[in-house]
Amino acid sequence: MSIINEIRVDFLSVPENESFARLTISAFLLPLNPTLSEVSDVKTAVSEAVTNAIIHGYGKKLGTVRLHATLTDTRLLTVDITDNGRGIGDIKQAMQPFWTSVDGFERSGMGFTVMESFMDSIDVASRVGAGTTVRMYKQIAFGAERAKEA
Amino acid sequence: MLRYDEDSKTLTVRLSGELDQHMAEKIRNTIDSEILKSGANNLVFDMSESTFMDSSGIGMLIGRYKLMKRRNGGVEVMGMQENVMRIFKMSGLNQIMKVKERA
Repeated sequence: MSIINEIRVDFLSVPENESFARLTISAFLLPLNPTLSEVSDVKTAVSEAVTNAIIHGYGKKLGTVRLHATLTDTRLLTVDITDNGRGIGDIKQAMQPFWTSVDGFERSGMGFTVMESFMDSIDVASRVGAGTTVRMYKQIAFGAERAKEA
Repeated sequence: MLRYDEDSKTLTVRLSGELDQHMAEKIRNTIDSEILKSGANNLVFDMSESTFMDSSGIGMLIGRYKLMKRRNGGVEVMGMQENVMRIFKMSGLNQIMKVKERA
């Protein structure tokens, strides 16, 4: 298994860049000719991770969010979303459905649940005061397998 | 984007494009002030032109649901595309909001 493509994009933690990150990851996937639902799953998961970085990682402060993605010749997509924000003290708690650290702001608390559901697996690494990296994996189906499903 | 029907006290909100945290933040106040101004008891989201929603959109919908509950009303969502419907159901919103397939 070897890497056939890789991107690193740094952007400011402003809400406008949520859609920028979704567009970026969609464009990165495009050469694989993925299904609509694969693109939608990945876009949604990236949107959740970037929103977390902006809202929870940086809060009212501005900082840099990094999107790092790789693709292998086996069509495995890996996406890292990294911030250098406040970090997560209790990752297990943060990943509970409906749990949110900013009560009263209409956060659904579903971000990590959505990432876990729409990707094959996710890992969260975080240090309080240093930042958070969410790593997500998704196997993009081969054309032949897709034909079988159809 | 907003249409109010006096007889049924229903406010219809037509959402288009991508409903993420950025967009949810923008439209929340517009919707709430229209609810208060019009005195609406029912809220309908027409999502037939929404191409994307993430959990921030879910949060916005739950917030409006709570608001309408306090006004003894309800929320209905119609015209959701498949990907929007998927996250909607995953969050269990189909258990508290009426869903119509077509707008």
